[in-house]
Amino acid sequence: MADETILEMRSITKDFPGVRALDRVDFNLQKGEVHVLVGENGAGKSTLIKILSGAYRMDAGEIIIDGRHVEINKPGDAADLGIFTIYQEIMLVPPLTVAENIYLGELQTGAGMVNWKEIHRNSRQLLDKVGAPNIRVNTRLKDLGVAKQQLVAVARALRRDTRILIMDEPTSSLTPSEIEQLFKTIRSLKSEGVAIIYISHRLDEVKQIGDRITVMRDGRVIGTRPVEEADRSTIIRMMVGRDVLVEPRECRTQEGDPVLRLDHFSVPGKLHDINLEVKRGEVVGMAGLIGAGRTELARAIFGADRGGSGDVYIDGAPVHIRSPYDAISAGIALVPEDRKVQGMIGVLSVQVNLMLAYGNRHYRGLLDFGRDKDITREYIDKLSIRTPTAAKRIMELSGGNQQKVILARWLCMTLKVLILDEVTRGIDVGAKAEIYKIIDELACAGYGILMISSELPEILTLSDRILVMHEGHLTGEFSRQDATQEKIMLKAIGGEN
Amino acid sequence: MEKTPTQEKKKPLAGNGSPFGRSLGQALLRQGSAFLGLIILVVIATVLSPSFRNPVNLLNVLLQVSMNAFVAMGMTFVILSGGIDLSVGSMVALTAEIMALLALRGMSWWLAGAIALLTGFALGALNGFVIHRLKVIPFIVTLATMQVYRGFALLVTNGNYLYNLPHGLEPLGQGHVFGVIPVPPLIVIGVAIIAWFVLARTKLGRNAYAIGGNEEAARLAGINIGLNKVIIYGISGLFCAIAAVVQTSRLMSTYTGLGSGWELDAIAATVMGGTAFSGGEGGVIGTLIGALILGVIRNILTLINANPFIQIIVIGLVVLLAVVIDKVRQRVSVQA
Repeated sequence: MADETILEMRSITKDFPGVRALDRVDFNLQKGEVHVLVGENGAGKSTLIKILSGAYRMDAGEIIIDGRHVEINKPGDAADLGIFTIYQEIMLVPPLTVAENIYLGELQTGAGMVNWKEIHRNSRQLLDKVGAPNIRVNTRLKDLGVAKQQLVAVARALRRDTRILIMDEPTSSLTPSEIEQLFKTIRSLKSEGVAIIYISHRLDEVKQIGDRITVMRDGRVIGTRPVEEADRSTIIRMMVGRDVLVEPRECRTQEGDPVLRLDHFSVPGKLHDINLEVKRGEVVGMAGLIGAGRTELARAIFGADRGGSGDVYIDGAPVHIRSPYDAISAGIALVPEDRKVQGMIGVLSVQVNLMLAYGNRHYRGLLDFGRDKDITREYIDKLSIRTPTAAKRIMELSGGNQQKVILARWLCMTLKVLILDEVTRGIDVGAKAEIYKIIDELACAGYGILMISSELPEILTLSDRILVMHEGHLTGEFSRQDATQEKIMLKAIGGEN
Repeated sequence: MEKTPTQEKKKPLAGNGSPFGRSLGQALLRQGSAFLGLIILVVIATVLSPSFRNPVNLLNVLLQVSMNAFVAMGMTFVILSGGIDLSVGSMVALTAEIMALLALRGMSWWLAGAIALLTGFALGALNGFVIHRLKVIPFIVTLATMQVYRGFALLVTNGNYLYNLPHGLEPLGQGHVFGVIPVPPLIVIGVAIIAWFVLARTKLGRNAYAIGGNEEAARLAGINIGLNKVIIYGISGLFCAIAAVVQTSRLMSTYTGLGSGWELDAIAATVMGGTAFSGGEGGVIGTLIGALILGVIRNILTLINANPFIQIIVIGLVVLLAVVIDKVRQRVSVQA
C-alpha cells in the first residue's frame, strides 16, 4: 500500500460538561489502509469519529484532508469530503426496500418523478461491489438478516465517491461466516483505495483485517502500531493501563447436584426436544450461530415467551413457569441479550434498576428505602460498579457498569440459576474481565450458570461444559478439556463429526 | 472550506466529586422549569392587572383549576406509565350522572358518591384491561372508550340535564373553610398528597415509572404488567370520579356534556409539569404546577378582557411551548 496520507487530525480537543472527552488527539489515515481504533468505552473513539463525521464540533485542533485544512461542521460537510460512517446500530428504515434504503434521502428525480430504473440499476452495482450479489434490490430491508442489512449499509455508504469509510463495531452482531463476508468486502474496498477507520472491541479481528492499530484511553491516544507489532496482551495493557488476567475456575467444584434440568423441552417451531442439565457451581456455555434458538431457549425457560412444553426441574422438583415472576420465584434469573431494550430502564436511577426485581418480589405495598439503599450500596461495592451516586440515571453509566447493575439486580435475591445471554456484548475489555471474574465467583458460590455467547473464546475460557445448538436442536456437548473452536463450529453449522 | 487552526481554549475540568451533582440538577431542571414558569407568569399577571393579586381572585383561580387538577393527576399516572387516557372527560360525565341519578332515586349522597368512585375506577380499569389484553395502543383504546362512555352518559339520562338534586352534597364544592378558603382546592391538596405518596413510596408507583421507562425490561424483572396497567388506568378513572363528585356539588346539577375537552387540559397540565410524554419521568407535584400555569393564564386573559377566542389560541401555543421545552430538556440531559 502506498504511503499516502489522506487524513490527518491534529491536536483534536473536545470538552463536554465536566469531562474532557478528547485531549489533543493526533490521528492519521493512509490511502487504502484499515486503521483499527480500539479503547474501552468512554476512551474517546466515538467522540473522535463523530467529530470527523460532523455530528460534533471540536473545540480545538485541525483536520487536514489531502494536505488541505478543512472544516467539518455538519454531517453534510463530511459527506462532501467523501467521509461516510456506518454506525453500530444500523440506521436504515426496515419497511423500505433495499434500493430505497441505499438512496434514502437522495432519490434522483427527473421532473419530480423518481427514476426507479436508474436507482435499481445503481443499487445493483453497489451491492455487487460489496460482494452481495444475492441481495435483491426490491426486498424489504426488514426481511434481511442483520448481516445482510450491514452490507446494505456499506453499499449505501458507497453511493457517493467515498474515500474514508468509518465502521463502528460492524461485527458486533454477526456470525463468523458473516464476518468473513464483511472482511472480504473490506479487502476489496481497500484495494480500490478506500481508507477505513475500523472500531472494534474484538481484538482477534484486528490481526485479520487491520494494517495499523491505534489505542485510545481517557480521551488520549496511547499509541499507534503496525498490526504485526501489536500482540494481544500489549493492546490490552495499552487499553486498560494495567495487565488483565482472566484466569477463572480457581475454586470451582466439578461435581454438584443438578440445579436446573430440562426434560423434552420444546417450543413449537423453535425448539425441539431439548434435554439439558446445569449443576450447582457449574458454568455451562451455550454456543451456536445467531438464530440457532439459544435466546429462544433462554426466554422460554424464564417464562418471557409462552409456548414452552416439557418438564423443568429446579433442584429436582418440577416447576411450572408461565411468567418471569414464576421463574424468579422458582430461583431462575435471566440477563437478557439486549441490555438497553430488555435489561435496563435508562431514565431511572441505578438504585431503582438494581432493586426492581427484589422490590417487586419482597416488598408488599410500600418501598423500604433503607433496605434499598443498603443493598444498593452493598452491590455497588461488591461488583465495583463505577457510579458517582446510586441516584445517577443508569443510561449515563458505561456499558460494563450498566451490565453489572443488571447482574446485581439478580444477585441481591436468593436465586439458584443464572441464565446469561450475551452478557458481555458491547462491553469493553476491562469490564469484560471484571464480569468474567464475577461469573467465576458466582459459580464458586453455588449458582448454576447457563451462559449463551457468540464469542467462542469467552465460552472456552469460562465454561465447565459446552453445549451447541443448531436450528432449535442441541447438537453437541463437549467437556472443557475436549472443546475446541473448530469442533464447536462444526456442530454449530449442523455438521457431523 | 479553508481555515486556520483554531486557538485551543482552556477550560477548567469540573470534578466528578459532588455526590448528587447531575441527578439533583436534572430533577430541578425537570420540575423546576415548570415552577420557574409559574413564578414568571405570576409576576407578569401582577404587572398586567393589579386585581390579580387580590386574595379573592387568587382563591378563585385555585377553585377553577381544581377540577383539572384531579383529572390531570390521574392522567399523570397514566402518562408516567407510558400511556395516555383520552376517555377522562367521558368518565367524568358518566360517573357524575350515575351519582346524580342514584341520589335522585333517594340513595344517600355517601353511598351514591362511593358508587360513583367505584364506577370511575372500574371504567378506568376496563381501559387498562383492554389495552393490555388486546395489545392495542392506549391512544386508540381510550379514543374508542371516550365515545363509548360518552354514549352511555347520553343513554342513562336520555341526554337530559339532571337538576333539583337533593340537598346535602353542597359543602364539598361550595363550602368554605374559615369562611374564606374554598373546599375543592383543599381536597386537591389531600388527593395530591396521597397521589405523591403512591408514586414515590409504593411498589405500585415504582412499577408505573418502570413500565413507562421500559415495559419489556420491567416485565423481565418479574413485574406483572397487566395488573399494574389495570390499576394505573383505574386510578385515572377514580380521579375523574372525584372530579365528578366535586363538580356536581359545585353546580348541584349535571349534564351529559360535562367534562368534554378536559382530556386536553389534563394532558397539557401533565406535560407542562415536566412529566415526560415518553413515560418514566415526572410526578404529580409538577402536574399541579402545570394546572396552576393553565389557570393563571386563563385568569390573566380574563382580567385584561382579552377576546375569549384568543384564550384558546394562547393556551394551545403555551402547550406547544411546554413540549418544546421538554424536548430541549431531554437533549440537555442526554448530552450532559
